[in-house]
Amino acid sequence: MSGARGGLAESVYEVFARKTRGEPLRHIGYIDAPGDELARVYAWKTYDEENWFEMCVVPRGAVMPVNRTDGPWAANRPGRKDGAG
Amino acid sequence: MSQRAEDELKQKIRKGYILESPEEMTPGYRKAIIVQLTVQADTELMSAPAYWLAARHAPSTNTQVSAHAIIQDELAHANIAYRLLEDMGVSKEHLVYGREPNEFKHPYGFDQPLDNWAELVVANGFFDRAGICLLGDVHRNTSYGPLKRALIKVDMEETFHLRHGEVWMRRLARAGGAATELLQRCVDWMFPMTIEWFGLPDDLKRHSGQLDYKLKGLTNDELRQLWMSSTVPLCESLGLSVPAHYDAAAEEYVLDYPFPCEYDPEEKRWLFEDGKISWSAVFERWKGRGPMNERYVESVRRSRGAVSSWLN
Repeated sequence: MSGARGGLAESVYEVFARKTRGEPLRHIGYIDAPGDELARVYAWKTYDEENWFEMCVVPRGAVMPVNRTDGPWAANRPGRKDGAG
Repeated sequence: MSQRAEDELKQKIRKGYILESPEEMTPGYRKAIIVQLTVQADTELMSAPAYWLAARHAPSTNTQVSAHAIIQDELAHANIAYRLLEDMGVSKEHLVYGREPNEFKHPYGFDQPLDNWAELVVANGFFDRAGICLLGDVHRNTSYGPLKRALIKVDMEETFHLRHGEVWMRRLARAGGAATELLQRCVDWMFPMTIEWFGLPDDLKRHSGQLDYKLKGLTNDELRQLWMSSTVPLCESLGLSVPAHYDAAAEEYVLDYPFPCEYDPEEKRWLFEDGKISWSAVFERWKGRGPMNERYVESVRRSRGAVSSWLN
């Protein structure tokens, strides 16, 4: 997706992080990357405004909405074939 | 969609409604936020090559690391703004790689060369402060939830850039002699450059919808005043002269030169002596872009084709 070409084709990853122990894991943003490994690197380098205790990335296509029918994950509702993965 | 739908959305927004997805946007809202985000993303992107070429003049390895940390932040900010646009169906690929250099929407200030360390730190002190005024206002007021959250990071980092600028401006001002003269020359062209950045005065501005949709909270003149309210006292405390002063009776900052006026990019000099010009003449100059426009755009695109072909 993203209109990128060939070996640079990218998909979207959601970025989650928490600042310290005891804090909730928060959705802090998202990045485009051509694969899981680079997604981890790009997330760490892009969202470096805090010294995060924990950060993780999730492919946008893996997030399933429960109650909403709009927004970035709407295409991933079970039964929809146009998933954003 | 009808005017009625636009009016209904504006009314909901006035009551505090926050949009969370592009599907909730009316055509008018979508158009206005795309313009706003394109300017924001292009400005962040074009600051990177401007600062990068200037970072060669860093006086030590430590200062070079700081300058490059700022550049890295700016690229991340650009990436985040383009990503928001992508979710609205606008192609990041096209915006970064598919446009002519003169189609970018960044301010004229980022078409100018930054030729020495003093110009880089004054850019941090002036241009990044303008960024904080503009984006801080968007952060406080925007009705688009994803943008509000994205700006938390941006505001934190722009504040660091501003501090970098102020600390170095202070050091150069204290040094006296050639350093202070150079600093004053930077201020002479970069102060009016930033003033112009905030755009048309309110009494001339045609209605854009950005305020009605609460994409921002302050008008151009209010933002210009906000910028001057911290920049003018800073410069005065450093013994630098600026072409503006506080008018206690009017309770606002007043410019001491004809505004807007013509600029000579080769000489890096504002032609105060030629008097006031029209805003259409200013738009004409902006449209023609400045001396570094093509080089800056080329420098962020340079390796795209080669790397892409290796991987295919």
